[in-house]
Amino acid sequence: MKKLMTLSIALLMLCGLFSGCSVSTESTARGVETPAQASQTENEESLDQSVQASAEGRKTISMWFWGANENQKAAFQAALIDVYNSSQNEYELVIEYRNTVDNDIPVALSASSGPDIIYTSGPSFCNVYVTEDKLVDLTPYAEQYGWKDRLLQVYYDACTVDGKLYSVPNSISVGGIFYNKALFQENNWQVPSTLAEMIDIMEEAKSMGLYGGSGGNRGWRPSNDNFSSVMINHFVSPTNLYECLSGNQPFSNPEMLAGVQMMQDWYKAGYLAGNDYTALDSQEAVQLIADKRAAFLMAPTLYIQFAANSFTDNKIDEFGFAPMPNLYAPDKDVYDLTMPCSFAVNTSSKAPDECAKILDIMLSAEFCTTMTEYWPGYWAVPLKDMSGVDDSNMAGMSIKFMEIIKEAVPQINAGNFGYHPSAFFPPVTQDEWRNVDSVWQGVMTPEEFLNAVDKAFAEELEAGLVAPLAKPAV
Amino acid sequence: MSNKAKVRLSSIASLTALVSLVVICLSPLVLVLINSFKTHQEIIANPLSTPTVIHLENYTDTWRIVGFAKAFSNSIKVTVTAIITGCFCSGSIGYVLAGRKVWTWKAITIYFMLATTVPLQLFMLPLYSAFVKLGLMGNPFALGVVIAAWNLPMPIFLMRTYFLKIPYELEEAARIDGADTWQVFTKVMLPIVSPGLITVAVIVGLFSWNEYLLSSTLLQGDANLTASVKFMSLNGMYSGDYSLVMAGAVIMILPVLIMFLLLQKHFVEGMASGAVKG
Amino acid sequence: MKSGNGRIKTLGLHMLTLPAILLSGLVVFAPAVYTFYAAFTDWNGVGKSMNWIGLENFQVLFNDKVFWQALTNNFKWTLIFITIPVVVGMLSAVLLARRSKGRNFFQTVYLIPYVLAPVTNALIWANMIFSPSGGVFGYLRRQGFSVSSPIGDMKTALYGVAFVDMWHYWGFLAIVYLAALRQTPVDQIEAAQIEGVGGWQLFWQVYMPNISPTVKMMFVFIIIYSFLTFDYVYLLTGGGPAHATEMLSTYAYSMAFNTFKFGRAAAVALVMSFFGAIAAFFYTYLSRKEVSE
Repeated sequence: MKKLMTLSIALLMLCGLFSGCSVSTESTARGVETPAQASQTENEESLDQSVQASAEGRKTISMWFWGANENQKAAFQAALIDVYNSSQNEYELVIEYRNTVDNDIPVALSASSGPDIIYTSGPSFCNVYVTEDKLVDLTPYAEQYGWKDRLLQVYYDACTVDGKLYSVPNSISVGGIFYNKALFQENNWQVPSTLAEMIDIMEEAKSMGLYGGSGGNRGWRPSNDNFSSVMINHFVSPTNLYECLSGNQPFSNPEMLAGVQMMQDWYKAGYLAGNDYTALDSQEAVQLIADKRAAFLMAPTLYIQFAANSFTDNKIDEFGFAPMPNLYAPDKDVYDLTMPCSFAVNTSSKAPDECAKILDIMLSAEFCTTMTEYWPGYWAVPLKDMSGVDDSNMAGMSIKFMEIIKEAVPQINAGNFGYHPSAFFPPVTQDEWRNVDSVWQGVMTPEEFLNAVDKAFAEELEAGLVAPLAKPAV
Repeated sequence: MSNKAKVRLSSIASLTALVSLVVICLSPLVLVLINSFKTHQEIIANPLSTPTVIHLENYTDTWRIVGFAKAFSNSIKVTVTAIITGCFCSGSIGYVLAGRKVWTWKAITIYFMLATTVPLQLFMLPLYSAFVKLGLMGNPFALGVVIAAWNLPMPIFLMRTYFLKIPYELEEAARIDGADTWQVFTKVMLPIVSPGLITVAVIVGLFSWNEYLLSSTLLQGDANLTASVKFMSLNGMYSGDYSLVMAGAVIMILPVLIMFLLLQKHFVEGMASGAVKG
Repeated sequence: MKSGNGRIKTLGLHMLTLPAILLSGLVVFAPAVYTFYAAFTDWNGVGKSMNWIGLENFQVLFNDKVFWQALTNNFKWTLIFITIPVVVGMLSAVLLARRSKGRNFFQTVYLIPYVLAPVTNALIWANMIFSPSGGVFGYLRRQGFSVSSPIGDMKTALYGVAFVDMWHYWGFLAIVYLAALRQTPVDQIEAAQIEGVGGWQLFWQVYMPNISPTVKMMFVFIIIYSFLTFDYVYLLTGGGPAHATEMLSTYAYSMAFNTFKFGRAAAVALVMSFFGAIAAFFYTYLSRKEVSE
């Protein structure tokens, strides 16, 4: 009786809260860039079809991927699953979306099982798998399909171990600065061409009560690499990094030390969301720009997938991206390069040829086009020749993303690029480099930090775990 | 101050303390409930405001997107398996440990005490390997058994204390009547400790329902995932929609809350007679 | 005196212990042995080769700053948990024990955070409350209060995470203590009250001796679980910022899955169990004097 009374009182109070509210039950389109032709029912229909296909007795090829929202799953369906399934009758591709994929893959490989197509957060993770014979050597397929000529050299090389290709990159992602065009207009700010100009703007933003710069690594500590990469590759010349990564000089050289110190200064000055860095996640970091609460966000273009959630409707025109100014070659646009993820083939797969076919689809201009129509920011296939990418069907953020990439590719070809840890550092070195937030917080000196990096790198260099690098021109 | 006034004052003070604790416990949940009816933009703009339009579609969308129907049915399979396994195993050994009926009781007790100190995260590799070899990947019943196994110690100690309360005369009488161990156990002891069994069932069931670490590792195939694993996917790297997350949280909370309200008497009374004497 | 009947009885009893022992042996003991063995090898968790390297993993850990940071954090966590939730739980249990009205209501409400899934709780606190963008802290910031999010600041992060875990856990303690308090014989309480003993003294002289087995048992369980603590740290901060909330469990986890140093991660796991085992043995020693049946 008493419980009933309490419950009814609670319910009454709740109704009071909501009194005067209207109720809506309409399901709005959730997610981002759904191309005009794709509708909800269409997606469900094609999903039903794939269910039917498996009922027809096709063998399955499995692939694991991050957790993805509805729209992203639709992208895979249209760009990959349907394309592959309709190209032959024997197999069908099934993608499993798991949030914990980064931990699930090593566990699965340890038991010599797991999906046919392996997802990793970068080629450096593949090195360990390669030494343990878990990944199929893709070089014959690369020759068969002509991947070496198709892909940007620097990306192809990064995925090789001992000259053999073991994984394929999924996309170019270049680092730069995100900003809000409307905010800049309101304050008469110009896109900075030198670091000094950038600092001026950030300081002015701070005096206005805004964040100087945005950032955040909540829920995904490797985000540290995104920010440190943009900074270090523009504070220190990429050739310096190249020499370090080739084993010709230690990381703890004077220029690098100065660069790391500068990163610490910038963090302390609040150019990375200050004390909120650990409390904000990637989406929220971008949201700050959309909300005009921060001047810049130094991040790679893969953050455009988050921008697509924040810069919606008429806000799209406020979205701005520019190459970050640098200290060593002020007249050049330099982009630090990374790949959001890479794919490989499991040695325990029963159909490696089919997997290669699927990878080939993922390295095509058509794939890039369709994926970017749905899901801008994550799928700019690193093709030498981007002319095959047809942006006539793209809208909003997708178009902006392709514009940025198309602008960057000639610079990459000209050698104006730098190295992002997640694509170019071996695993333990990467992990040590990730401790950069200890330097930022002031609990580690730049010397200690770089010494730890040196130590880790020396071991991995000896063990042959460092991928070959293309040399930059800056 | 008169005695009566003193008593009243301390009564008011104690009520204030208790009510403030209620507020601390409940306000995050009320926050989630309120925000589950708002749009993503509204939530970000002001998480403390009440909604102007109640967006019921947040719930229907979340239910559909996450696939809660299948996910909950998987959770139920896992949890029921865990409960049955846990009750059976802890009941049988708890009976024996009470009164130290076998010479191995000391070793067994020490073993299970130590089993509570073992961290779970690293043991996934050997377990995973075994699951693969036995072809049990994605099998919710196998997962339920594993979860029960990991949560044996506390139920065992609880069941032991419940059995301790049964006067020895009852068991003696049954044995004199010619009953063997199994009959004594099933026909005499179990019925008496059935309230305790319910408590253990609630504890094991609760843990299994909320479990995400083992579940995410040992389950493969989207159709096999439990609710807690699928709920985690809502907050993955790519979710930008807080309204889905909030609605999802409420959907996750409701079944647990309802079951708990129905069973809380057993749980509390069970803890009262069991955990107390250690 | 082992009659034929006695033998059968003993056999039957041993059989009854088998289900639990077999289950635990297969699922817990076997993997545990395997993993603990790995602590003395260089296994990377992926391949087949496991070479014995003796105590090398432990030597590396001994010189690892982050390891000591994690260990310190675990100790801090234990200290926090054997004080604050215990005090709050005990206080509310005492208040409830002296009340007759509404006891069920309070008990139920206090247990609600405990029965919710860690993923749900962590999500609520991280996104809805702590977030400086979309959460309560963000809202306060925009209203002009310069508050920093607890999990953003290195100095407060550990306490921020501990607060959420305590919020989730204290109700459970309160219920257990309350149940124990209610078992105190009424005549003892009344006798003391007649003699004019009240409040604090009543608690210490009458209640405490009766509930001390429970208090001791929960004390030990808190210590054991404190060294194992993983969920809330992992879900809220992942060990950051800059290892400020790194725990032995999260450190082991990232060692195993990020840098493929499974052997070393197993060594960390051994350390975790070691401290838990000390607490467990200590408890067994303390309770050997207790009433045994």
